[in-house]
Amino acid sequence: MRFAVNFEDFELAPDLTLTVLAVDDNPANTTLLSNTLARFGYRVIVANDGPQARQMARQQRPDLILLDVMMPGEDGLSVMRALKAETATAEIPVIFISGVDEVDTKVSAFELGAVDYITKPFHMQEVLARVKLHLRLSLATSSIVAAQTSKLRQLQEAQEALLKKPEDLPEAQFSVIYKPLEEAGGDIYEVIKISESIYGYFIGDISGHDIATAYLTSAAKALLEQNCSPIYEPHESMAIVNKVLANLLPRDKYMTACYARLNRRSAHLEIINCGHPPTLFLPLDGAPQLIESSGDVLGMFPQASFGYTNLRVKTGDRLVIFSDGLLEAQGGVWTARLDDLLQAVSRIDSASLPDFLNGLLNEMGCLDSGLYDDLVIMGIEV
Amino acid sequence: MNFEQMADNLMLDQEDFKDLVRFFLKVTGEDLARLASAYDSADLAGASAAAHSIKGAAANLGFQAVADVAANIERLTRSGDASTVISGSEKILDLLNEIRSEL
Repeated sequence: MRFAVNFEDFELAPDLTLTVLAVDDNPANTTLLSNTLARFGYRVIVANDGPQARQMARQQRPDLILLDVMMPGEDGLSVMRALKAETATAEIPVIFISGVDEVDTKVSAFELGAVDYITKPFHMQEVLARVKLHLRLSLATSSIVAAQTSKLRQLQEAQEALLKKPEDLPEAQFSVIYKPLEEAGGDIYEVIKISESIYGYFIGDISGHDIATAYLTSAAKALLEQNCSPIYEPHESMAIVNKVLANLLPRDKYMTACYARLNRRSAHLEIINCGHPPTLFLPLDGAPQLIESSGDVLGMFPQASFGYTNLRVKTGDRLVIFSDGLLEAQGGVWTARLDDLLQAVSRIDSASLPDFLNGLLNEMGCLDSGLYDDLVIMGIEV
Repeated sequence: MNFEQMADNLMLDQEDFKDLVRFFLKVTGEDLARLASAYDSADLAGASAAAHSIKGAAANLGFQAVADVAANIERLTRSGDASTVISGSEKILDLLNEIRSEL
């Protein structure tokens, strides 16, 4: 469950990957659903008969169930009745899947509490859209109940683990260097596991350095954990974060940010820019390039639009996200030093990601003392 | 058969789709065996269920010709008519072989 009232449940499923249970007696159908949904970031578990479906629903508490109506033995309607009768499974949204010729079962399905009905043959766009819609609805509903509990807990967890280390999330394949100017740093970074193959990488820079920013750091991280999920497109995640921050931040404060979402399975990299300096894309076989796309800052306007870049990537490609501190180490404004940055990259010859980042800091004059600003730089490898 | 287009319809890449088709051929082979044994023991409900299973999986993957034959068997056996089970099964087998040969 994504939002859990019970802390024990929370411990059982520490990551926020959304789980879908697909039930169909024909394993070719469940394999099809499982392949496609997994591609879009969901964890899919499969049952091929009624009793197995009930058992998996009870033990694994999926976030949503796709349930075939016509199955030998215990059919979908009976499974539904049993699920609704048990507290542990009663709240899980169920979408029925069945052939077009079984119209009268639709009524029975809705009467039993199904949230939706999909007819075979599947149209995958439709299945995905409905799954997404009902997960959103369900999360919105359950979050009202669990919001207070889980928010407090998330805030606490965020404070305990403010800085994620590469070794905490080896599959995320990132490396980071973080140099706050003062204890209450205005720069933050976060790496979020969205699913097995999808990770989100975030760097933000809150204007000003004072005690308020320290509190905002943990709040922003909790917000990211909550809103960077497979059911939201990256720009939607940022739009929600923006709206909350707009309410939270004093009028003269804002945050510039860059959010990159990398799907290693489909080899897609999406970059959202919220008034932040460009990012550096380093294709394995190609010239380094700056990804620039202007957009509004976070926390200033409730309705904001962000820069968006969508890239096809290959294994070995690298992305470097950084705060303006990287470009301002020698004083001056960052816009004047973008060419220096590209030249610096061409002078570095390091195989490993951490060595590369260190080399870049050295070339840009950030390893000398006297920093003018916080500095955070994160490298990501596909 | 345009596997690329069919894979695209399911938002899969071609290799994943072909794996799925191989699996479909195996499962449908088992369903045909179930259909035959139900027919042999005059179990029309069992025959109808097996045809239903073939119909759904075939339609999902985009093998409409297979789905149409299976739908016909399902409909007739449900109303007590087993006359098309044998010829229909043979037709499905031919279609499956055709799919297999194009993989």
